[in-house]
Order: sequence, then C-alpha cells, then structure tokens
Amino acid sequence: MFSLLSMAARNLLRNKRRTTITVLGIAMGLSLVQTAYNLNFGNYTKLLDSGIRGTAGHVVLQHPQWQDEREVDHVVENSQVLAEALRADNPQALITRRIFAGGLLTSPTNTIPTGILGIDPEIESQLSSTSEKMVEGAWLEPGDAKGILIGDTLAKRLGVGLKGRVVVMAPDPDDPSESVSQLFRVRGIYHSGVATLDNFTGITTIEGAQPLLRGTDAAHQLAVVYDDDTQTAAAFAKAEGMELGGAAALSWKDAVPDLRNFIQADTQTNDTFFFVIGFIVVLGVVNTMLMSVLERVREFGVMLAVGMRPGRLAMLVLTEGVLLGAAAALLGTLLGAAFTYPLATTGLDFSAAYGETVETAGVAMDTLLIAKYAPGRMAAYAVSAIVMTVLASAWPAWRVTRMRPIQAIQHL
Amino acid sequence: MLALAWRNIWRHTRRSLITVAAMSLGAAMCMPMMAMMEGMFSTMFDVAITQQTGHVRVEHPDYPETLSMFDTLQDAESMLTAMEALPEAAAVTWRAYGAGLLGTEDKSVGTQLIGVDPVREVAVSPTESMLDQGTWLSAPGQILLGHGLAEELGAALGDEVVIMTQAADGSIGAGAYAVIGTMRSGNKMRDKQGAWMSLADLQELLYIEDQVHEVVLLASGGKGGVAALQDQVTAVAGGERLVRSWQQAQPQMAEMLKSGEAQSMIMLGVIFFLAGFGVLNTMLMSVFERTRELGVMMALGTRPGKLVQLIIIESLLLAIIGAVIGGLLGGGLDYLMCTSGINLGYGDLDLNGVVFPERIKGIFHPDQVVMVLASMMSVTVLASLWPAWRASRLNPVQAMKAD
Amino acid sequence: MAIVSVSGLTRNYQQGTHTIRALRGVDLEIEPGEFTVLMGPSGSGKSTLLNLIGGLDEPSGGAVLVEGKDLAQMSRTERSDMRRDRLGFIFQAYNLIPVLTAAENAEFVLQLQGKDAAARRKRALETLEVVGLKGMEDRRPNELSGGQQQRVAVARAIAADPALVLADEPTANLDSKTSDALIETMKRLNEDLGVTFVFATHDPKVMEAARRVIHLVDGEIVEDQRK
Repeated sequence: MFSLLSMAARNLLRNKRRTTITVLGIAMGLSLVQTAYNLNFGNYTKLLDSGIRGTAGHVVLQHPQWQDEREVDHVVENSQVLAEALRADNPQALITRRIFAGGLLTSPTNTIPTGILGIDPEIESQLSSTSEKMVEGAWLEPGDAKGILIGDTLAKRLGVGLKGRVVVMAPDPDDPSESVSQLFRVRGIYHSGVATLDNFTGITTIEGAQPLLRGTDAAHQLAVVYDDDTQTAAAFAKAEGMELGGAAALSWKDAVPDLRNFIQADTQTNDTFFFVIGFIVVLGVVNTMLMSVLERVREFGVMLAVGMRPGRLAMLVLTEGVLLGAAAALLGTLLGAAFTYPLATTGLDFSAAYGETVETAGVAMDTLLIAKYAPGRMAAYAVSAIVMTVLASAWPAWRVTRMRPIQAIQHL
Repeated sequence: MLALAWRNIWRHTRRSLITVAAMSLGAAMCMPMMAMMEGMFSTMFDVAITQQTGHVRVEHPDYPETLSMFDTLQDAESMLTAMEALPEAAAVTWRAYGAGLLGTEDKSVGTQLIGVDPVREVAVSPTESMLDQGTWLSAPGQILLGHGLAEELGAALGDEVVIMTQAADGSIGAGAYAVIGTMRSGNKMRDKQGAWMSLADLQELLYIEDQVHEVVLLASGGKGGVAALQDQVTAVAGGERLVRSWQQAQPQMAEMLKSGEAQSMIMLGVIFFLAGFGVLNTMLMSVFERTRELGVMMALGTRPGKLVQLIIIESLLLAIIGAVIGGLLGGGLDYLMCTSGINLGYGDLDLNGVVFPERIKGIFHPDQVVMVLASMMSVTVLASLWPAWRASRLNPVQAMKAD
Repeated sequence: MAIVSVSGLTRNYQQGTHTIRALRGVDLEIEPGEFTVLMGPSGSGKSTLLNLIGGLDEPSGGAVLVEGKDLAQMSRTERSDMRRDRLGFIFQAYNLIPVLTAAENAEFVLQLQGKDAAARRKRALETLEVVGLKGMEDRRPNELSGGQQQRVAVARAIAADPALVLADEPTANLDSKTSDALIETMKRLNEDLGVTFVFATHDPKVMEAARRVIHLVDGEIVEDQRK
C-alpha cells in the first residue's frame, strides 16, 4: 500500500547518500544550537539565582525611590516590625534586612571610599556564598555592632589585618555638612570574587550600620527569599496588601533589572547567531531539494499526465521536507543531548582566560560554565528545524505545481 | 580548464547562485560580528588598560599591593623627561591617586581622586570619549566628576564642590573646585565614585609636593612594540622602580583577548562547517548529473587527475564569487557596525567592571576579512574533495552508458 | 457518440522571431473501439495532435471535445481530473514511478481516484494478469525488462476503464520480438475487451496491426485509411 507518506519516504531513500548528508547537516546545526543554549541556560540559572538571593530577593520592600536613586536617605523605617510581618506571611521563606551605606574607611596608613553593607549575618550566610569565602577570621555574629568584615584586597590596601581597627567616616545622617566617625574591629577577611565586594565594601551587621542612617530602625531593603520562583506571585500579592508604612514592594524582575538585561541581551545575541546558522543550513537544503525535484521532472510529468493534481504533487514534495525535517530533528536532538552531557557534568572551564569569577551586573558569574538541560527550549529548536526544512521545500514544491506535463514528458 | 569550469558553473545558474548565497551570507554575517567583538574587546582594553596601566607602567615596587598614598615615585620630573625622549615611547604621562569626602552643600560622598596631567593625559587616555558632558581640565581649581557621582550628589556643571581628606602629613586637607564636566569612562567604579582633577591640584591637596604614584607610557609600535618599550623604560627607570608591561599588570586581559580570538575562530568554523554540507551535496549531485559527459572526457583521453582539478576549480570559482559578494555585503554591514553600531536595546551592559555603552560600535580590522574569506574558501574546497575523488574513479565505458 | 471530436485544430510555437506551425487545421473524430494510428515523419505533428487530444497541451486555435466536453472550457483541475478518469496514457519511456512496485504503478490512477485499498489491489492484479505479468506484482521497475515495464504501463492505462488509451511511440525502445508481443497484447485488449487505442508512431508493425491509419504531413492530415 502506498500513500503520500510512503512515497515520500521511498523517494528520500532513493539517494541514501544525499539524504544522509542533508539530514546530518541539519542535525549538526540543531545539536550545536541546542548545546550552546543549554550551556547558557545553566549559566543564567545560576546567575539569576545568586543575583536574586544575594543582592535582592524574590520580593523586596524598599523606599519607593530607592530603586532609581540609591540615596542613603531613602530608607524604610521600623524595619524589624516589617520583617516580622513578612516572616508571618511567608513561613517557608528566608526574610532578611540589608543596609547599603557608604563612607570612607580609614586606617592609619590609608583612606579609601567604600560602601558599607549592613546585613543579618545568620540569614545572609544562607543566601550568599561570601560566608564560605572567608580567608581569615570568622563570619559576623548576630548583633555585633562593632565588627566589620573586609575583602582581602581592601585589607591589604588599608594595611590592616584580623583584629585591626578601622574608622568609618560618613556624612552625619541628620546634618550632612557634618561627619560622623565610627570605630570597627576587623572580625574576618574574605575573598568573594566580586570586585566591588573585595575592593570597596565593608560588611557589618544591621546594628553596626544603622548609626549611619537617619530614622528609626532603618534599613534600605527587606528581602523575601524562596527556593524558587513559584511562590513569587503569591508573596508579592501578600506584601502589597501589608501595611507598609510608605515602603514599596517589588518583585525580583524589577529589583535586579541589570541582571535581567544582561541575560536578555546575551540571549538575543545568541538567537541572532542561531538564526544565521539556521538560514545557512536551510539554503543548502533548498538547493538539494530543488535538484532532487528537477531530477524527477519526467516522472512528475507522467504523474501529472495520468491525472494527479498539481497540488497533490506539491504535497508530496512538502511531505519529503517534513520527513527530512523530522529525521533531522530527532537525530539533532539526540546529538544535542549527547553533546550537552559532558558539559553538564564536567562543564566548560574558562578560568584560565577570565579568572575564577567574572562580575556582571553586580553578581559573581562562575567561569566554570555548567550546562543545564532545557528540554522545552530544545524541543522548540527541534520544531523550528522541522519548520525551516519544510519552508526550504516550499519553493521546490511550488515549482512543481508550475510544471506542465507535456514539458516534463518532452524533457529529454 | 578554467574556462570550462567557469561555464560549467553557469549551466545551472540558480543552483550556483543559491550555493554562492549561502556562502556569502555566512561571510556577511561573520564580519560584522567579528567587528563587534573587536569593538567590545577594544573598549575593555581601553578601560582596563589604556586608562590605567597604559602599555608600560612605572611604580613604586610596593604600590600595587598597598595602593598606599605614601608609596610614591620620587624624582618623577627628571624621569619623565628621560621617558619622553625614548624613541619607542609614543606618549608619556604621570598620575597621582587619593581619596576623600567630596561633596556639595547638601551632601558628601567618599570619592576616589585621580590626579592627571591635563596636557599629557590627553595623549594617553581616550579623554574625548571618556568625557560625557562639559570640557576637559584646562586650569587649576577644576574637577571632573564621574557621571554616577555627579548624579548622586546632584552636582551640575558650574557647581562648586569641596573635598576633605587626610593629607600626607596627617592633617586634614581641604579644597574647593569647580565642576567643569562629567565623565563616562566605562570603568564602573570610577564613574560611580571617581573624580578627575589636575595633578598639581591633587598634589597640593594631599601635600605630596611633586610625587606621583605612576608613570604611564604608550608604545609607538602599538601592542606589538610593548616589549621594546619596556626594555628602554627599564633602562631609564633604574632598579628600585617597578616597571611592568600591561600583560604583566593585567594578565587576565591578555588571556581574555586571546580567548576572544579563539571564540571568533570557533564561530567561523561552525558557520562554514554547516554551510559545507550544502556545498557537498550540491557538488556531489552536479558530478553525478554529468557522469556521461565526464565519461566521454575520460574516453577521449582526459586523465582522472585533470577531472579532479576541474571539480576543485569549479568549487573554488564558486567560493571566489561568494567571497566577492560576501565581502561586499559583509563589508557594508561591517561599515554600519563600525559607524552606527548596534543597539542591543537593554541599557548599559556591565561586565567585569567595564560598562559598555548601549550602542556598541564595531572596529574594523583587515584580518577579519582575511579570516572569513579564507575559512570560506577552505571549507568549499574541502567539500569538493569527495565529489572530485568520485569523478576520478569513474569508469569511462559505464559512465557513458549512464543517463 | 464519438469519444474525441477535433475541429480546426492548430498549434503554433514561437522560436525566437520564427513561428513554427506544428498543426495547421486538423479535423478528426475517434469512435469507440477504434485501433487507430497517427503516423508521419518527424515534425509531422502526430505527437502534437496526440498531446492535444489528451489535454496535455493547449491548442492555438480550434477545439478538442472529449466525450462531448470542450477541453478549452475546462480549468486545469478539471482537465487533470478528466485525464485521470477518462483517459489512459502510455509513453515511449519512463512511464513508471521508480519507487512503486508494478502493482502500485498499475493501481496509481485508482489511488488518485480515492478507491479503497482492497478494490485497488484486486484490479491491479487483474490488469497485470491480462497483460501477462502475473507474479511480477511486487517487482520494482528496475527489476523489470523494458518490455515488462511497457506492459505495466498498459496495465495502468486500462486499470480505471478509460474511454480511450493514448500511446506515444510505445514500441520505439523495444527490440522486434518484444515489440510484437506488446502489440499483440494491446490488440487483444482492443478486440476482446473493446479498449479504444490511438497511437502516434512510425513503427510499421503498429501500422500493420491498426485498423485505421491517419497520415500526417507538415501538420495536416493527408490521408485517413480504414482497413
């Protein structure tokens, strides 16, 4: 029994070498695209995760103007009370407070302008990896208002070591023309890989940083951090419904736009590249299919002569395209999955070129890229491959409809 | 042979054109992309290298570690004169660094102070492109703020700012300066927290007299002339001073540039590898179609080797046409990329401390054209080898019976 | 009623500035049951006439009526369907579809008509038996000799019970013995089953077997002999 499908399949098998080369070409292109995406996906996922957890949260509460103008004055007051309320609403999340202030860190030998980060050490250690990157000393204890942690580079520049003393000079929150000084002791020295943290930041507790802020029990950011994105919408709704006392609630998409921008820009660049690859492969398929169609002019002529409708003949050619595409999509995806495997386990190590971490949008990006399978996207690319192959066969199919049986018969 | 090959190609105009189209498209895409990457790397180089370490830098041996105000170069003036006389030096400048609280009436902020020689700096750093608003330093008492810093302070052109800092002798140094411009240097840290002022002003503020923290040189031979320059500088600088090339000062940048080149090659490889499948199929079919004709040629005495040549020349010709078209198209796109640049539409891109402007411009280099076209030609020829080999294996008698 | 009725048929071709007049006004009628040959030297217009009758080509002037219907009034699709349902074709060479078996080639038109698989298969085997190819139904064209391929073409041509079978030089590529056998087969189909045949040929053997011979010279009928 034969049908269009069976005929199409048999036609493709007529010239096994040609069909194999065509399918291989498309499959290689597809697998490369899928593998490249999986590699990026793994990277983005990690990046987003660290970014969200380390510098913001799935939902954050901030002063309404703080997102645009990170002024030290744009605080949220009564932060402790708000934190408790958030904790009650989100029992499964981690709730933390953060202060982003700045000033001059002075030591006997040097003066360096730095940011002063005020955190809740117990919770923050679960959110960011800096607590694991201590080089000397220890992480902060909760409530330690006089302790400070600094990066190794900063320590060297200030010429201070563990237990050393530094003074933070900052504008007086109540009278900016005056300055305040605060003494801290270095409790620990870290190396995070993020230049800003290592060179230009001192980390202390909320209690340690609050004297630099105006207002009662002030902080710049309250963050609600879950394990993944699934609870974000619900948490956001709850936060908005709270008595916020003038603060604004944001979801992470608005809170870390730089990160999102980077990912989007990178994705777009890659997609453009993928499209170019696809187009080039498709051109090759067009040529191949055209030639295969022109080879069969006589046979098509006979089919039209005995009464096959041109539309049906075109469908035959398109069906050949579909089968080619499907075979290539299958092979390509298998290859893509196979190529991704070593990248997902061992990964691609760029540390020789870029160092251990590269900082982007304020987050440390690991230079050891580990791929992550993105089955949805892989499937989407596979489907595109089929679609593009069918499109490639569209022109040959159209040409077939323009054939007149008599020209075909006389084509000797 | 050449004429025959040429005519053979045009027997099937459309098929040849499509093959050429695939190749030229690949080429046309690669060139602007390479230009863009070159542009990005160049920006990174400028920000990380030229603005800071130059091609060769001279410092107090302890300074890189401590970055302390006190680790200065003494007797800098005579050294500078000697450096300027060096044949390998294209430009020389010197700088000092400090930190202080810089502010307006309402607000002050911890700031990194960069003291530059208003005249000499222009020859070393791309001051023109670094300047966002206003004008470069021309007289004492002037200051340029990083655009992020200016925004935070709410300081505008013409405003006066005051700096308070700890001077070298332990006293409080203070000074007032007029804001004559803002900077968008691309260096994230400096744009947010940096201020540029004249060397003399900073030396006065910090009370360090005529000392500087670094002397920076650009090589007349460009990146290639760095080694020669370094040798000359070392000879003049004397043993107590630290003389480093940019590769030594920022080894990662050197690695990154190399890896960037590798990335380009991989991209080219991938694109043309995939295009090669199409060429392979096309040539195989073209040889098959002509079986009888090739059989006749062999029967008449053409040697198999000649047939191989014929096929390879045909594909080379196709490649050359592709090269011309691709070159023109790619060149055009490349030109656009280098003049107008491409707007990725996602705001400033921040990577490793370098902030790329929203509109990234490409940089052209003849190498780009050469590499792209070379890849294209080699892939095309490689793809034609198998079909050519098949042609040479034809049995004349059987071939003539075919079709 | 005549199956085919041709009046004032002309066909011209443009070659550069030169006009070739392949048919210069032909009138003709084909009745059911005929075994007719159009003959003439190369360029006489016999193939052109055959193609016009079969609706494979369009005339420059005049009319072709098949079973009373004017081909010129039909759309491309209607003509295509007409060929499928009412005509059978046998060409000089390359008749068969290489990827289909003999049976599948034979039942091709029935498949186009949408007949169900069982009925198609039965009819295909029938026709193959009638043309003397019993047992060969699962062979592909490249496994059949030239003569056998032509027989399959005949089987396909009659499978849908056409009103008329048009054959363009069916014996031209065959040796004399195979030719004879093929002609014999077609003659039997005509005499026993009443299949109407019109040939365009210059094979004298076909002419001999024919009951009506129409001579064409330079696009005109010069003689129309019935035996």
